[in-house]
Amino acid sequence: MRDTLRNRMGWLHSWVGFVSGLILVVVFTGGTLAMFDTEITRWMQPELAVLPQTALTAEALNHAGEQMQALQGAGQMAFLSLPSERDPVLRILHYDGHAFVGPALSPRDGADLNVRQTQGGQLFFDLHQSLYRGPVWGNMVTEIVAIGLLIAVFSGLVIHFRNLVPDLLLFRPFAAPGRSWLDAHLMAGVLMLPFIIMITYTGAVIHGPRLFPMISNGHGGKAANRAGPDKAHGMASAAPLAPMWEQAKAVFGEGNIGFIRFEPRTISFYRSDAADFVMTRDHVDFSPRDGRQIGVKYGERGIQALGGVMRGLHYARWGTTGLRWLYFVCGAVGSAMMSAGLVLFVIKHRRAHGGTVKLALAEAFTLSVTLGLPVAALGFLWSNRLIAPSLAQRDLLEAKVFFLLWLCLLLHAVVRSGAGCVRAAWREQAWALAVLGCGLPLLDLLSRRGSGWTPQLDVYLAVDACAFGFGVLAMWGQSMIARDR
Amino acid sequence: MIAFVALLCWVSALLSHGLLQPKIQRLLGIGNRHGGLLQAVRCVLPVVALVVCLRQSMPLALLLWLGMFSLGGLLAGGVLTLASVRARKPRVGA
Repeated sequence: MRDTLRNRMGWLHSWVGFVSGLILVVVFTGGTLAMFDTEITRWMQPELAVLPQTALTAEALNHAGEQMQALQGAGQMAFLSLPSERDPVLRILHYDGHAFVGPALSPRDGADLNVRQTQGGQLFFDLHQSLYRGPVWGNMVTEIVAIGLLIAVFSGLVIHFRNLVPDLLLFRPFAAPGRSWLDAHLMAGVLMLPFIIMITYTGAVIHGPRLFPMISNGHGGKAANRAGPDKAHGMASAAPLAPMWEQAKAVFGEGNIGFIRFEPRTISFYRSDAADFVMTRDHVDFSPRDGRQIGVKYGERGIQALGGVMRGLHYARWGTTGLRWLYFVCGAVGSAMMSAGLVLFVIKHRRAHGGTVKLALAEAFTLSVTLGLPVAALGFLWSNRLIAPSLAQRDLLEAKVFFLLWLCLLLHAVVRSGAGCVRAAWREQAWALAVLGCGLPLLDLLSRRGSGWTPQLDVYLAVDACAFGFGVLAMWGQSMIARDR
Repeated sequence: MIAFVALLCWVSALLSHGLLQPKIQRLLGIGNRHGGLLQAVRCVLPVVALVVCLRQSMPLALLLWLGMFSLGGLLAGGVLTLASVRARKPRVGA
């Protein structure tokens, strides 16, 4: 009876795990990188490296308010992001369908800093959240694979129930390849179990209303649609923002204002996501005509605040840098665990289906999500420094480089797997990762030479060091593949 | 500092747990010595880590405690793997 259950769970774990795993590795890798999306965006705007650290001034805020007023007059929907510890500039942002993009302004005087346009780290956020396929289909797929992950975790626990605790730290790299990969998969899976369950469950719940509209509040889990610019009322912002900012600070506290939205009838100062663990959309509203405070609107309270708790746990925007690193490491190990599961699946099926097109495709997809995606991510960073900063729509071009490179790596994996050279394909893509990763600090140094490169512990050094570390890891990995030949 | 102490507690507890497992004992070529002490360390130190983490506010304390379990497990697993590879070399050579 128990063995029958284990066999059935084995089949479920194997197939649900493989099919969802191909997408989950992308979602997990994207989410891991998105943990530092703001920092990646800053790395991708090297013009900000020389900006002196200054606090936001009333002059800068009023100047930014005038620019917002002009945009509102032209019928453009945008909002103003205020400086924070993670991002020390003002930003006028609009949603381009994938990311919030727009000019960065100096927090000292509100002048345009002329930074290069980029989707930055938000590309990874969009990849994580909706696979870059938009809020309907993309979200739905990620929701479904999140449920697939929960099924795979549950069935995996049933299969290995007896050995979970005794074999918790058992890893035998010298054993047969199948055994080593299984050890790695189990060890990482069990050690990361609390994180994986928490992050998957909260992720599924956050977008649950999209998948199950019957439990939603009638608008697909999104905030109610707000009216666009209402020219009929002609109530564009005229009052200066600085006095409103002072009043909003009195409500939410110093440094706790995240962004400002401009509506036809109100200017709303929203509480920062970093202000509290429970992520809400509390805001103070002002009249755009005379700057008079209209009211304070608090979001979900009581049992409905559970959504804010889920978002707070999932996004961890309230957390310290240390907590974000913890999420980053757990996410990276989680991705590696899923990749190990994919490799186990293809190893298991090599004996029965070796040489078939189906297996070659499975091998190719496994390789392209495991190594192809990180290579494409590094290619995205390289393109940021190689594409001219002033080129029109360069942000879209960078995204195209990312996806084209990833497609090329998939084709490479398909061709090499089809020719029966899958190990060589793994080594070649590992080499590509090593070259791009280890070369990134040099590229950063050369491309920032003119704009004042200084060796200091900042986001630039952190991104360079991470890329270099992954490059070294890839070099070691390819040497291990070569040694096992 | 709190995170570091919690990590240290988890690494020690999980190393003790690993050293108590017959498969790992065989890989390392060691017997079941100091079993009582290892069991005590395995049981007590996670609780110590929790007490230390609770000096932070909730839910950071819980996230930290669980996160340090994951990181500590990876470190302890890495140490045991290195030890088992080193212990294996002389036997392979012989």
